[in-house]
Amino acid sequence: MRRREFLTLIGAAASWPVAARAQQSKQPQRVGVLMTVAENDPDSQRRIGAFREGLQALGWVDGQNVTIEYRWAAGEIGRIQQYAEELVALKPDVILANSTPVIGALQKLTKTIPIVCALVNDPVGLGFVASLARPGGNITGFTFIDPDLIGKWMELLQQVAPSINRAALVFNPKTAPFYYNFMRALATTRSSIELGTMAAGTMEELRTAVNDQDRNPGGSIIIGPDPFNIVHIQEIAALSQQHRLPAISVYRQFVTDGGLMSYGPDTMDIFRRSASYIDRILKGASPADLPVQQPTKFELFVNLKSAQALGLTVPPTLLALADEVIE
Amino acid sequence: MNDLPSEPQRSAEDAGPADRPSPMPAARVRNRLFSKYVGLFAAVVTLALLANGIFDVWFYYQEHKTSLVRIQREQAEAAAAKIGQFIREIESQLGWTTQLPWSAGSIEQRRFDALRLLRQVPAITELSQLDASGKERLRVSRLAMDVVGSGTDYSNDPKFTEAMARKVYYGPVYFRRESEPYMTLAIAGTRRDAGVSVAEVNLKLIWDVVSQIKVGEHGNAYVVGAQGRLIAHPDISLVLRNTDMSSLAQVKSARAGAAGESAEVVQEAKNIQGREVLTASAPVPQLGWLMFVELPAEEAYAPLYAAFRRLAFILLAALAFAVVSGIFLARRMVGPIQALQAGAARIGSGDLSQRISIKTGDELEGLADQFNEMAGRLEESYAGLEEKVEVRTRELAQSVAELTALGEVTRAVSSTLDLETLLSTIVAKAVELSGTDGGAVWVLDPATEELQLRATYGMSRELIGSMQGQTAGLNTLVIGDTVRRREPVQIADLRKEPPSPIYETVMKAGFLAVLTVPLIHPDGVLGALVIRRKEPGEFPRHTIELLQTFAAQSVLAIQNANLFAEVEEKGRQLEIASRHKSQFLANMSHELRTPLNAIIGLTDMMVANAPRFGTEKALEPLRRVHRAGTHLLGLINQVLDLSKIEAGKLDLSTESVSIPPLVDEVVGTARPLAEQNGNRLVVECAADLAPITVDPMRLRQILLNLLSNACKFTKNGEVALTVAPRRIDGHNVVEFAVRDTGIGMTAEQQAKLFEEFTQAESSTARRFGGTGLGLAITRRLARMMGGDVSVTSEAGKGSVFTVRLPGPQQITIPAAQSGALAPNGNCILVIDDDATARDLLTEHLKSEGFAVATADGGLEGIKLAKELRPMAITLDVMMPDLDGWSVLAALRQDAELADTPVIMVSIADENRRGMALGAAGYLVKPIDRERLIAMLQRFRSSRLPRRILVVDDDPLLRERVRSWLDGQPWTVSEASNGREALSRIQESKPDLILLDLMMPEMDGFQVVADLQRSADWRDIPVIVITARDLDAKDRERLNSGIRSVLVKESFHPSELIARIRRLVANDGAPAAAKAVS
Repeated sequence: MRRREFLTLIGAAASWPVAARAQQSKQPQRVGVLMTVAENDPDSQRRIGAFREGLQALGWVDGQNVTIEYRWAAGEIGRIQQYAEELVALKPDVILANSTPVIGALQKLTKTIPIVCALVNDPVGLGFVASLARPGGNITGFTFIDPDLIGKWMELLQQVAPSINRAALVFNPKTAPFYYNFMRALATTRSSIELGTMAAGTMEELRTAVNDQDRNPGGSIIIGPDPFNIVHIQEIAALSQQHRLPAISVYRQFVTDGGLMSYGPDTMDIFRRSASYIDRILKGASPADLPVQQPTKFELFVNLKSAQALGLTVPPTLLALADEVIE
Repeated sequence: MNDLPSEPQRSAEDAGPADRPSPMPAARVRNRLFSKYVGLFAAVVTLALLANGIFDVWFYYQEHKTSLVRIQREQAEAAAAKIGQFIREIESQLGWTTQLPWSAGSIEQRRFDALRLLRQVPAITELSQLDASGKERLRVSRLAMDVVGSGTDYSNDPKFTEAMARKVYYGPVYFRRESEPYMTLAIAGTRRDAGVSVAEVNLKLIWDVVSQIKVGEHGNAYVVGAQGRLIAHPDISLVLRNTDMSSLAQVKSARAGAAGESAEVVQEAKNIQGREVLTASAPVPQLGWLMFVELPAEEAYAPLYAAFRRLAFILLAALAFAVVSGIFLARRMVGPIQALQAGAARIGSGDLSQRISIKTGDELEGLADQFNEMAGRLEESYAGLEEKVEVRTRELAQSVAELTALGEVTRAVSSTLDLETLLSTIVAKAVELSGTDGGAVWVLDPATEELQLRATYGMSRELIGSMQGQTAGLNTLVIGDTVRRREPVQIADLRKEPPSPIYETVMKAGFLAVLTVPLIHPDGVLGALVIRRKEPGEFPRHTIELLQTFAAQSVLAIQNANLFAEVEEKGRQLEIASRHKSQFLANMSHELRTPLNAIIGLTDMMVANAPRFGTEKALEPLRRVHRAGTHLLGLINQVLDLSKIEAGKLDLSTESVSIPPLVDEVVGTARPLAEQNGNRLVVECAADLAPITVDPMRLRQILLNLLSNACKFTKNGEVALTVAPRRIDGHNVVEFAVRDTGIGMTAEQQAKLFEEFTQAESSTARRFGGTGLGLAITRRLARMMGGDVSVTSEAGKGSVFTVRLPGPQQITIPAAQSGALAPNGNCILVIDDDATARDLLTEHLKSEGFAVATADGGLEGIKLAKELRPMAITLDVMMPDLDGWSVLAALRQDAELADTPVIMVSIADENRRGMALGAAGYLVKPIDRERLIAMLQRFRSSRLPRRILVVDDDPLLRERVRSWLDGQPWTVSEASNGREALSRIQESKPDLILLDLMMPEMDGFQVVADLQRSADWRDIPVIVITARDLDAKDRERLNSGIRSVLVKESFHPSELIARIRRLVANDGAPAAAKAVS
């Protein structure tokens, strides 16, 4: 017994310096994070929290074996470009890119630094990846929506407001150019609702567009993923309510800010899962081999107050299916 | 292992051989033992640890592996269960939707149920419901718009047919939107009309399950479908690539196992990436899938490797520990053993006081104690022994000292043969030896039987005076007693003796004790030795014994002295007799020869010049007179020779002699003798005989003697002389055989033949005459020349006398290749066997500008002289191979070298140092005409001298010479002594001088010396005429051709050079005579 202890002790003594040296010799890995929105956005904070949780679960602790550089572009194109340049200049081991325009900016700056997209739309159509199964370049990640979801939104709108005959996609062509692709993909979908677009670079333009929409009854709006949309989500919610337009968004925040309802992928889940790709890339995996993943978890939020304000009655089956109902 | 002794042992070695404990083996033993212990200890510890460690590691490895596989299997099983659970849950959830027949309930209700299902089961992305006919009635989706009543016909689709047939259908995995794994799960309701619910199940959840399985650091889990295709893998790209896993060993084995076939469970194999992995599998229930868990072998065995490393480290540490403790233990063991060994070695080397200190408290200490005890015992016994030895040594030393003293004394006594000195010494040494104060020796006169005081020591003048001249009778007190009784007598205290005048005298001189010892020799008593002491008391026994021994020695010395005195006396008488005999012989020689000389000379002259003297009629008597005279002269010479041989005074004068001329000459002399008895004289002489080194005169004498004997004892027969070279026992000899056909001899006669004064028998002497000395002389001479004479004979048939002499000494003078060479103008040949002398001469000569050649011996010298034809030669006399004289002779015989000046460099007699002689030859009186003419002939042949000066005090001889030279081309002038000769020479320089040595006023030697001193006269050839019996030294002095004799030790080089210069300068002038007789 004594001997065994003694030997263990000797073994430990022998192996200790090697382990210590191995740990000391490893420089902390660097991860750049470029978020589209402002730092004070609570949803984004939650997402980042989920991301950090995900990293931590995989053994990465900021400040110890990994350093994370954050940049918050607050939805401005100029800042996105500026921060993208800054991060690329830092030469981190991997960059977590939040949105489609961010990825667009980064793609132009580097072909070598691995980029993990959290919430990207139409990466194939925009040329970020060769295919979803094998991205083939330095970019991979998690998609946000696919064109089918627009159909789902229209269906949900129709369930709540059976009277609508039109739906308009609100987006800024500069930050969300993919919608035109989506529109083409949806062209064959049979629906009783006519789908249109409501492109707007500023809130003024949007107001004007909404006013135009408002002239004919049966209209509705869809607030899909777009930095512009998320930045102005509260104003858009207010605008839709003001114009009594039934509206659905991909963003949960839309509902909490007074919008009618939202249906979309669980973004926190996506951010959590993007940590796993960061982990694999930091451990040597190539982004070219990592398939682009699609959301599997979807959430439905309904604001009953807003529905009442709009004079709409939410069917009980829908309420029963909602993840959260705001009274 | 180092064999060098360590430092302390080295110092022990330095201390001396006495205590050298053979350090080398000690060091070796120590090291061997030490390293043996250390090695053994290390080996035991290491082996034990190694065995233990290997077993440890082995079992650890086995356990580790087993547990790893177990964990993997458990994980696989858990994961498989999870997946099974997942699928089962979906199934059961899905089951609710098929409870009702299509006839019951509204489609809206069904849609709501379906949406609720989607909400409850996140994995289901899409759900469609088919009615019993296979038509799609409802489809809800998370992503897309719901479709109600599309009516699409799936009745032939497997998902409908299979589900209908088996209640449940698991479709193959497929990918939606490129990257999302999906599987179609269809369930038929229990009722036949309930239709089929088809769910598109997102399998990413399985992927999550698989990804979450953590196996070690780099291990992973994956799921393989029933067809062997990959369904789920953490690396989704592999799944997306639809990887076929069926070729992997572990998959094969697991599939076989799942199919119920017995197959070995593969635990170690290569994974799809080709890495060695440790793997386990578990089947997923229902689905027919297989769950695999694998861990890279590298990682799985990492603990094993760590264990190995640990083991190695531990082994190393243990080895170090074992060596250290081994060294420590070995020190503890070897130290005492070493101390024991060193101590034992010191005890062994004699240091018995040595005690070994070992305090180990074990057997070694016991051993050390026993050593100490042994040493103690040894020491004790040694101490006793040493004491005894010391006593003995003391005694021995004393007796040795006494013996030494006795020896010294005896030596001192024996060192003189003078009797008086001897006696004084004896008494002095006796007193010294006995440590007394005075002594005396009394010698007994046997005639008067009285004792005479002969020597004293330490006695006062008065006492001596009172005793001087006194004699003591045998009745005298003490001395008389001693002599009479022949034993020592002592008086311890004279004062206690009855008064006596002698005692009074002695006591007055202060002596109180007396000891007398008789001097005894076998025939009687010689006298007595008395010693006296001023202290009264008994003389110690050993003193008496010592003195007795000394007395015996002294007696011997006295007898020796007496004997010596006698011998000396007789020797003196003999010497006088011998001197008289020599004187007589010399006188007789001179006195007999002088008249004989006249007789022979005159008769010869009268015979030769008969007409002048008118003696024709008396010619025959004159001849007889001449013969008789000659014979007489021969007899006289023989007697003289023998006496000289007897006295050892006959010196041989050896030189290189050519045999044929000598034989001719001898035969010429013997021929008349042969003719007298009507004998034929036959000569056979090999013409090509090489010259031999002999004394020619003596050889001539031998041959003549044998020939005359042969002629004498042979009548009307034949006498033959055969000379031939022989080789006997590897030596070259020249054999002279004289054969006759005369009376011969019997064996007895032969035996006595060579004894002096003996003829074959006395009657022979009467018949044939003769002294009987001839053969004795012949043998003596032959032996002196290194040969011998022998005889073979038969009575009545003749005899053969054979003389054998050492043959030619290989003086092979090289053939005349030298003829082509001109004399070397500037070369001096140095012949000397002494390298130092050679070098010295060479150096001096070279510094004077001569070229020098050297030869280290006579033979070599002759050879070189032939080859080089030097300007001059310096020649050593004493050389081992061929002496200088022989070399000189050889040189002179060679026509080409005869003129070469030679300087003898020799150790000459002190008296004649620097004496330079220039005799060109010598003749012995009575002068043989033929020889004179022959000698002169040589001069004539080289040159034509016109004037000859004959110097002799005998006018008759001068007259004779003049008569001989008449008719020859000489002009003869005469001088009667040296002085006159010199004045004659002064008047007119002669070309040749005939010089008598013994002359009044100035002798021949002086003349020669004077001639040599004058540069003008030095080159005049001189032929010595002498009646002296020339000895070797004389001949040496007169030897011809010697230009200079320099004394080797003391000559000054400049002198040598000057002489050589002179010679060289003279060489061009009319050549001086250098002939050799």
